[in-house]
Amino acid sequence: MILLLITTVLLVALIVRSILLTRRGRLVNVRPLTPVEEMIPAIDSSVASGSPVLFVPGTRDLDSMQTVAGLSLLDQVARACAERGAELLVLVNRSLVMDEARERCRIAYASVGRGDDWNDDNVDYISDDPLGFVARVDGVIARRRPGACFFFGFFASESLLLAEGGHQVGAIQIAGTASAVQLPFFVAACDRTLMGEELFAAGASLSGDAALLGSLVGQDQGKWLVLILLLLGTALVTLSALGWAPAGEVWTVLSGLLPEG
Amino acid sequence: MDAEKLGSLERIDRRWIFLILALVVGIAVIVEPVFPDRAGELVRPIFDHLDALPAGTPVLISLDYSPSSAPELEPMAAALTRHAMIRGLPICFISLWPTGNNMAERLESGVLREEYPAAEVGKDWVVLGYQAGGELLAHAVVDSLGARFRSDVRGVPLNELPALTTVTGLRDFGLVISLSAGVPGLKEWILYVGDAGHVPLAGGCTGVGAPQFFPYYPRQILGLMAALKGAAEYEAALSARYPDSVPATMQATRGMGPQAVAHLVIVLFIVMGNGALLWRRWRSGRTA
Amino acid sequence: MIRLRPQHLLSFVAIVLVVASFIAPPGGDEPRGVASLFAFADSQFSSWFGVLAVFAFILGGASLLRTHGRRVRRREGDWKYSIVTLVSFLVVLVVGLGKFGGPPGLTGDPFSPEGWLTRIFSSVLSPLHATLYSLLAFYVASASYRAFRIRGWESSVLLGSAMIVLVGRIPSIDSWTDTWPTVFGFLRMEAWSLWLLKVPNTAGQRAIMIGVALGIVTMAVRMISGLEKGQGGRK
Repeated sequence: MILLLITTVLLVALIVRSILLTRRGRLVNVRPLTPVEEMIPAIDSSVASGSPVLFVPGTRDLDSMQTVAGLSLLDQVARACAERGAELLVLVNRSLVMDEARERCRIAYASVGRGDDWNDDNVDYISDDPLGFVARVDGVIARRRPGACFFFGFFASESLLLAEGGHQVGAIQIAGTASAVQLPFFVAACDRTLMGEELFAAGASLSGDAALLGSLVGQDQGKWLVLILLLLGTALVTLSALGWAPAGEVWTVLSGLLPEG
Repeated sequence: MDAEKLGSLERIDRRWIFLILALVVGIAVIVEPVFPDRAGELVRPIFDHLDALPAGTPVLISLDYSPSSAPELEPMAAALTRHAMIRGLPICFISLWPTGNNMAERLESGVLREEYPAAEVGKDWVVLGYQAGGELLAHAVVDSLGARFRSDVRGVPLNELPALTTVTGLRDFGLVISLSAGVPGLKEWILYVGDAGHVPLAGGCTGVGAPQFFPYYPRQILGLMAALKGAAEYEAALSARYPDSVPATMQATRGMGPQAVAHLVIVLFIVMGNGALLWRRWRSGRTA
Repeated sequence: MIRLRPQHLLSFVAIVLVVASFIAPPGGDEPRGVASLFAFADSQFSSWFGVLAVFAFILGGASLLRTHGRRVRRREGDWKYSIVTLVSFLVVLVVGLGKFGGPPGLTGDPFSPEGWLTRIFSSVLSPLHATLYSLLAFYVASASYRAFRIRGWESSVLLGSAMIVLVGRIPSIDSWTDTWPTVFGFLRMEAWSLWLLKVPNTAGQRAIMIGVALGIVTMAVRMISGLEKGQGGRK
């Protein structure tokens, strides 16, 4: 547990340090995420064809980090739709998420001076039952024929049902989830997919906010930390297996600091 | 072959794919082809572990699924139930999902009461059922079942259930098996029970969820039944070991016939699409 | 004087829960002293969210009734589907609250096997779930046909892996490959399928797990520090 605590503290320290450095003016060069770069053109394409933009922030409640990440992307999508005059439809399957999504969209529209264009009914609560939710979303896709479909958040088996529904109407589909088992379905059926940690980075990347981008730098530094620990552990176990006793002793001490299991 | 016709093989309307798949699988369901199977590397340890338990050792099966996943997971539950009944191992059914009570009821009516009329509830099997709490429920009962369960679903107190006389907590079970379709499920059992509580744990899961559990094999779980194939492999092991004690063809084995056919149809379409693609590229390379 | 904002509450609760996971971890020894306070907070905050979510049902239900009621009143697009939604919602609500067919009263089990609610669940909802789930089989076929093409080396690797796993998971494949000459043993699809799942898949899953964990930590730091303005951090 001690090793876990030290690692967590180091990780948080790296992230906070990066945020502070970027706030003080240090330039950040973040690799562009292709799915994120294609979101605005997808919205433009919907505007050109007179079709709405569909957004689904996952099928979990507000206590899921994936839903929070999805909603942070909704901020940006709503702002872009407001600027371009695109109709935004947000379909949710949790009441709390509905409330939060409405507030975010209201604020996003107001921030670009289009507060009067927003209608709370554009965020529709459907059903807590995931399959019932999917049936309705597919029905909306089939009838309203959105030009762009965005699926960001946690999805279970409904991922392929949603993605195929969007493909059927020829919508540009961009998805993102941290559920590793659903990634193959989105990769196969959507035009672009944010995979795993990219979902959490996307909101920061799209906003362009320096502090948020700084947090991504800290996250990458944390990844280096994890990589170093992995290589260290692998080296110690390998050397110990090859008969070098000091490596075994160091490994025994370190593994005693790990959580049980 | 005409280039245009060949090119159309690259862009088959998906409705043709649906129709052909439905027809072929439908025919397979009627004809019921049976493909012999055998227990693979991940399923064999579960079977062997259960088979080696002394008679009277209770096992715990957690039915963490709903009716939508029952086609994949119920055959596993049925096969495990049959194996436990043959070996004389009392079974304790619990669930982290609200639908767990319904799933246990289906096993009781479909397998236990039908195939083992001499078996008695309370003595040969017990249904403790569902309790709210998710993974915290699993964690809470590691040391003491009584911490969360006062009685079984019929209202009989735990200390009056002969099946659980030797059981205080999860460590007193010979094996804990989670049949899991999502969250909370096998992962939570691994994190909060198997690893933390040092309880022998095995799992069954849907095909979609299987890849996420491979990292836990073999340290945290001694075996994994993945999808209907995993259930069919377990049934195959059961039939091979106890041919006179189980139905000749069980649910998963019957289901693998249409599934195998479906796999072959999908492979055929993929080959067709790529064949047409490669032919088109070759032709355009020749004419360039 | 500091004005309490939702952001302050979020930061406080988040820090308490993070600290609780270290000083009173689940599965550890019985916490004592200050640790017991954190353990109490850890268990209670999760329950409180559940209570909030239950009350949020009322919010969602009211929104559903209002939206669909308005569609029916104004005969807006697809208003007939809205009638189905409203009737289903109200019927199940009344049947569930009234506990028809099952043990009555406040303590009666609403999910008793003979109750109308259980019958609706098993006769209507379960078959509907199974129907929607069965669509996946067809969609997997059409998505596979579209996606597994030799467009470049990455898609070729994806195609090859998919074919190996698809073929390797067919039952009896090992009975068939048993008949092959030993020199072709390296072509056994079931062995390759298992290797793919145990080695590259495990590596990929672990990499995604680590990346996701790092992403969640970063997101949490942004939320606690108020950088994620959507979470009550708005100015």
